[in-house]
Amino acid sequence: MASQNWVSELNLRASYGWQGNVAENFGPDLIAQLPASAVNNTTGEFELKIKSLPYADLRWEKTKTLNLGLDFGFAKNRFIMSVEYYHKRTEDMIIYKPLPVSYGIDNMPVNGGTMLNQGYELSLSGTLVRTKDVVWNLSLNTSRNTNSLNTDVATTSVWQDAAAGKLYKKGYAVSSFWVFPFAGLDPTNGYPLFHIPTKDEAPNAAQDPTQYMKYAGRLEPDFQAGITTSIRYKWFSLMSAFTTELGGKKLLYKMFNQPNGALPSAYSNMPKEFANRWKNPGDEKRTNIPGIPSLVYNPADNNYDAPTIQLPIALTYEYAYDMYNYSDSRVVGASFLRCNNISLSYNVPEKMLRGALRNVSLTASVSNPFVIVSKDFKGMDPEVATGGQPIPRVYSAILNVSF
Amino acid sequence: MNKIYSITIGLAICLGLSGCTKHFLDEKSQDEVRPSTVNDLQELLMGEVYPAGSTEPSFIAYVDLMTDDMTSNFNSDPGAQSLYKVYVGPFTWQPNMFETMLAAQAQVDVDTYAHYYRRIMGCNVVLDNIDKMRGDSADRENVRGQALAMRGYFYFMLVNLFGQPYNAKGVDINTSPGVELILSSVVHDSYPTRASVAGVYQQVETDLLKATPLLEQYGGNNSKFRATDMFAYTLLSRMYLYMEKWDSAALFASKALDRNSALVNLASIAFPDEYSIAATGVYSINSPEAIWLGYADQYEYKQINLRPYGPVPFCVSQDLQSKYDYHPSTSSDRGDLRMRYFYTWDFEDYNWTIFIPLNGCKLASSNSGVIKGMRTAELYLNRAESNIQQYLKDGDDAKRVAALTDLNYLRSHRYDTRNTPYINVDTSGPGLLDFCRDERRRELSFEDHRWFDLRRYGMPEIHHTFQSSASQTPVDFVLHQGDKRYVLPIPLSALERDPSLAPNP
Repeated sequence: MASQNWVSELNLRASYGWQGNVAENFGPDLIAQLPASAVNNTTGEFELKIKSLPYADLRWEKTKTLNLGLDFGFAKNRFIMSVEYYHKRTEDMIIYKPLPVSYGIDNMPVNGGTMLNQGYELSLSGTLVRTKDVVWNLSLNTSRNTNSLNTDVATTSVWQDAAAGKLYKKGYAVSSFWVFPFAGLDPTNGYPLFHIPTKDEAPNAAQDPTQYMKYAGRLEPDFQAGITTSIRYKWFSLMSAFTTELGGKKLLYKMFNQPNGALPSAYSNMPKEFANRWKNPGDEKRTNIPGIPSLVYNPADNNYDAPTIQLPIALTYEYAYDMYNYSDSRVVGASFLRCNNISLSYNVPEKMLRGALRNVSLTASVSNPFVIVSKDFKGMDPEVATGGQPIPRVYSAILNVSF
Repeated sequence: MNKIYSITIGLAICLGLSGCTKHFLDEKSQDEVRPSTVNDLQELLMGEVYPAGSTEPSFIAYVDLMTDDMTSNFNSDPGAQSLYKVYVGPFTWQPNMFETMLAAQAQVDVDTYAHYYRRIMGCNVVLDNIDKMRGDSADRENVRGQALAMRGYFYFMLVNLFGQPYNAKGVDINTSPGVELILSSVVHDSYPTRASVAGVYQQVETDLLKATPLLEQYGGNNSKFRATDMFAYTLLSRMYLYMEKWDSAALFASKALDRNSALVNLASIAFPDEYSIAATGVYSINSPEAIWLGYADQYEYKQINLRPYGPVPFCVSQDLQSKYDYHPSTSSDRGDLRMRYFYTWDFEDYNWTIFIPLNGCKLASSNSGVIKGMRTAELYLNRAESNIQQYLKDGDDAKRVAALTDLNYLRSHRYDTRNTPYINVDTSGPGLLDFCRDERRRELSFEDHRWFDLRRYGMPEIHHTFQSSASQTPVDFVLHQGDKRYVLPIPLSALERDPSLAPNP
């Protein structure tokens, strides 16, 4: 090592741990609990309630953790790279399995799952140019954490969870989400239509919403990173910071956000694109935005309801306009490059300073100057378009004088 | 020597300290126990199995709206509108009645199906653990008998709500689906499927016949809030009646009546002075005719009682009212007192002129008391009906006389006999069966009998007229003869959790 000079630093770290967890709430015995009032007011008799049933075959949860780290320094640490990696695997994880109603209890704990958490963090920094007048530094850091639950136990049967990326399905990455396949607008009334399979095509729909929904992608990006760069030329320096995410999909804000699929209220703000909605037959050829719904009489419950669509589950109807909020016509690519900050400063050279002045600098900066996103957003601020608050753009000028 | 001393003392201190600390640091829960005695399981029965006085004392406080005992009137008040939303599902026999009640956020028993099974789970836990407990063998067998009897009761209710009637025409009860039979507290991954109607009845019979000798021998001191041998006899009598095994139904009714034949004489109870409240009597804690102070309290159907201004959204049907020979204006002889004593009344018009019964309620002695269960009146009716069926089949006049004796004895305790003696009814032929069925309806209305009785009478056609908004014309909803809706739908919440659970058509 001593004879070479391009590697200036090299560190390697590794650790491994093994841990067991006992499920404290359960045991091999029947546990009963005294209710708040031990004597029943009506019968006058003492009472006990069941706290937990005996579970004789529950095992420990086992967790194995591996950590690795590597630091590199090149060319007298002009370039530095650091990598951290962790891998945490929990086996025999206790999960609550929902039970059929006729067992008389809601769920039971089983050693049914394997959870894998892993992640890496990489940071690179280097001085690309170093001369007397010009210095250019660039640094990048990126990290990624994933956790996946591997279990045969179905995690959810609720389509809202599937649309929110909370459904774990074998063969699909974590944060995968599903949406309703949009089939255009009804030419007669402008209501949204969907490709919903029939009961025969989706026999298990009550347990598995992915049978009638369409895979839309992953909510989490494939790659995300932060980049900062600074260039100094003589007494001027220019700094900027960027964040980027590539891959990943998102749902746009809910266009129809009223409870029970009701009409938008006169007081609620509607987006600009709503002006482009379906108004007359024929409009369905140029727009995907449904018209204003009218309430329909439902003889079953004697009510006026917003239009509904039946899912391939007996007696299960969803509001069509709510389904539209979760349809593939509202899915957008979430890749972006955002410039967080640009600042330019000028340091007054020391030889020009007089008297007690030690340091004088002038800085002009702008935060959030621009963001590059997919054209699916139709020019809307991406934060607003996904239901958040806009990030403001702030200009500032700073004069710094120290004595 | 010194060394030995110091070592011994040291050891003693160590042992002593560790002995102390062990007890001192022992973790003990303040409110959790591991049941270890027979008495603990008796307390578990009280807490998990018996509904009386629990936080959910009712199971099916909507079933009376599905019968011909209730009717609906239109009222445009918002209070009435919310009431219609709650009860429109059962009142018009909608296949999604559980879901509409749930959507209306009704304070009614939307989770009937799960509720019975939760209590069955309590029975199964007791039965699976009773032999591991310390305690007196008499107490042990008493607890076992109660758990078996209650499990039989819950399955009897479930199969009659969610399965075809045992005597349904053109239905093979050996294949027609009943409910899932869960007979162990051990839960596992498999999805249970529905046993046949006959299979569930078989299980109910087995449980009750196993429980009967245990309760006869060891349950003598059980209060009326617990299952007793009288409870088992009554349920067996009711079950055989549903199965049309007339002699067994009469036999168990007689067995019970031999032990307790008492009836409350309504004429000896003061006429309810508060204008709206039913009389305290047959289900009060000291009532001689109560067999089981079972379930439900006076807050059942309370939204119907707390009605809005104007016409009552739901009330007792004209048909049922006309069955009572009640004439309140003659205060010396009011006739059939049940019309006033067994119902909650109110003024329809707020002018204090039109006084109508809202719903039935056999009010208990205290506000927290139960209003449904079992009483000896049912035994008289079960025995009379069995005798009449046998008389109609083979013309045995002794059976006819026995039936009339039972019915007249019951009626003499229900009429206003303060000044006027009760006049015995004498009739024969098929009219006697109708008379007996009407008597059963008058006596047991709003005690969760009528719906099941209609089912076994051949599921007759019922009309319900319903209007919920001013712009709408009243709709005549019809439950046709033998309608499949005489079997309640399996709630969606249960179907979702068990893919192998077959829905009702």
